[in-house]
Amino acid sequence: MSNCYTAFGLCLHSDLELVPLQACQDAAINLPVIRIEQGEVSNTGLKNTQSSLVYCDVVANTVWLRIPNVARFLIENGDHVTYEAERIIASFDDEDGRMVSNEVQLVQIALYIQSHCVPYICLQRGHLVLRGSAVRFGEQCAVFCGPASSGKTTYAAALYNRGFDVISDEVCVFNEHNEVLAGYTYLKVWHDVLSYLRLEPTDFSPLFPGINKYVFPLEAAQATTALPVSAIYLLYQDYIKEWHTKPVRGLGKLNYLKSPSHAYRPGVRSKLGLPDLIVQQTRLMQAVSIIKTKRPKSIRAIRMSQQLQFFIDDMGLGVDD
Amino acid sequence: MTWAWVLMTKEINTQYDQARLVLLASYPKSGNTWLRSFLSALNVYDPLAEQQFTEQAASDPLDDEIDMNKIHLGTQLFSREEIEVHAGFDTTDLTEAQLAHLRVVTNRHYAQAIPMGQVGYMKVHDAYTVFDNGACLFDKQYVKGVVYIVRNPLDVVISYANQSSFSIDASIAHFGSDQTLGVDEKAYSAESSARRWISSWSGHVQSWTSGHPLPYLLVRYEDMKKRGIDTFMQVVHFLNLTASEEEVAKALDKVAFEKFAKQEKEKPFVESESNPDGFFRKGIVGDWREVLSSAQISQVISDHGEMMHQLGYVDEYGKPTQLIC
Repeated sequence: MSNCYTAFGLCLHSDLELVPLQACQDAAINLPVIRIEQGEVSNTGLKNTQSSLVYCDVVANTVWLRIPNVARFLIENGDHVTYEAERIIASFDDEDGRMVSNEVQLVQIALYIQSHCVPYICLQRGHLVLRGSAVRFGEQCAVFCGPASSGKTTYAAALYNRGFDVISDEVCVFNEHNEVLAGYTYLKVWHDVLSYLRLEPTDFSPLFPGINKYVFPLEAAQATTALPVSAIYLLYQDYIKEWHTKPVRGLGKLNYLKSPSHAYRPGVRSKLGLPDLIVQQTRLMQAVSIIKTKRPKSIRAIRMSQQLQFFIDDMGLGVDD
Repeated sequence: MTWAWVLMTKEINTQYDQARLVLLASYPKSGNTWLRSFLSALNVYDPLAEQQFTEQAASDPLDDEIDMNKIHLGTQLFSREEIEVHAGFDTTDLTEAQLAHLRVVTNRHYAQAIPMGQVGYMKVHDAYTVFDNGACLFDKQYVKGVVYIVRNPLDVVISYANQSSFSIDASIAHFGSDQTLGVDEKAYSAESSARRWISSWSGHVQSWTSGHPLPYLLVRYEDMKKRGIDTFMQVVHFLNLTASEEEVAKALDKVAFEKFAKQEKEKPFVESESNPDGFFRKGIVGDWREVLSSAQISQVISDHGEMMHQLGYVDEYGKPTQLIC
């Protein structure tokens, strides 16, 4: 039985329920179809590769990915994902001595399909992909860009709480017109973030048992939504006491768009044998303002309202250098 | 009583070609940053850490001190971001246990990335840890040697309480517990890092000084303070470095505690996140006599007396020795 979902301008047909996504009721949507199926995937990687990563191999337009004790994935040609669950071994039990259950493992497989395999599919299809969350301001959007734990989702959740739509979280996939495509209809937020936003964790479902992370549902955007970007905020943390911002100007903007902290897996993309994205990146660089933001590492030190107001004002002014 | 210190050491590992990683291990607040600073001041090259500090080296031969925030030696590998660099995937959808076990693999991968013929360094606050399936957090196949620093727990509890914003009593309770998960519980953030296996203070010392196959040099913080040149020369010899006593003395002068404390008054130290009062507090030996109550001293000795005796901190009757006064 196949479940159907839409995200990033794609129709995902999966034999695994891709929780916590809501399945698409309208099967007539005219979008490219991606097949996601269970099957055999090598446990040693691809042949003839010299990957610098432990659990990721690339050959031609194929990506092999292993998440230990979860699953192995083969992502091929921008239209097919094969997954094979790993056999759970006892050493990966949690601190109470319980092994990761099959139920949890299936949720983790679904999550890694969404967070890794689908973005790799987008790379294989030639899309520009950034590590960012996009929030709608009027007819445009702002992208909060940075590596894991930089605060992308925190800003998205905080702005959503203030009435702004979240277009995409964790990854931003751009079409050829440099518009951000609508992503998944949920955020994954840590307990700390809910507390900081004065939201009650008991009002949210845990991502799965044994993790202190919750599903934060979003009002679904139209599957075909694509919004132009007005600003990209680069998120940095440091051992500082005050949050501050600094505009990036000139060609420096391009370097930030290409860096591993902001581009999605540029090292993997470079091995996919795809055309360079320099033209699209340059157009994006010219069309948007890019602003470096640096916040204190400790969430307790963050004055969120001051930062949110800055983003709202900045987007309202639509300043472009 | 005169206490004769016996240096505990095994020869550095030359058995395995791929053994290119040196661990600088210690319980928190025991002098690890000082040792790393010293090696930086000696201009010891760390090929992997060096990549992260391209702006400028920490130690200019012409300077009389080094920048505390540019110690280009001894990466710590437990943050999600660092683990993901090696693993190749985001870890935020793993359980804490899965993430922690992933460190076994990323530690090995980190060590294997050190070029042949070179030596890399890693700062470690974990205990020497072996998992149920036999996997080691640090494997003898790639570890060239360990410099393990130990410090009198009577002083460590004060320093740790200050660093973590624990009360001293809470700090003592923390050190005494036989926990297997992070002592840095209060500063620990699942959002940004994996847990570390710290254990109790005694458990930590025991794990690094017995029953493991790694070559190691045991260094007491008190000897680093009181017999600096001799003690740091032992480190130099153990690591097969080339440095004269004069060079060691110059390096020690560059990393004098007072210089770092002064720097920290002007800008925060990168590792002092949770402590508004700073990382470099006093750095002295025997501060416990002024700060700890009799009950607190008794509790620490009750919890750790056996190990403290083995290290010369208390005599066979549990009385503090001259070493730590």
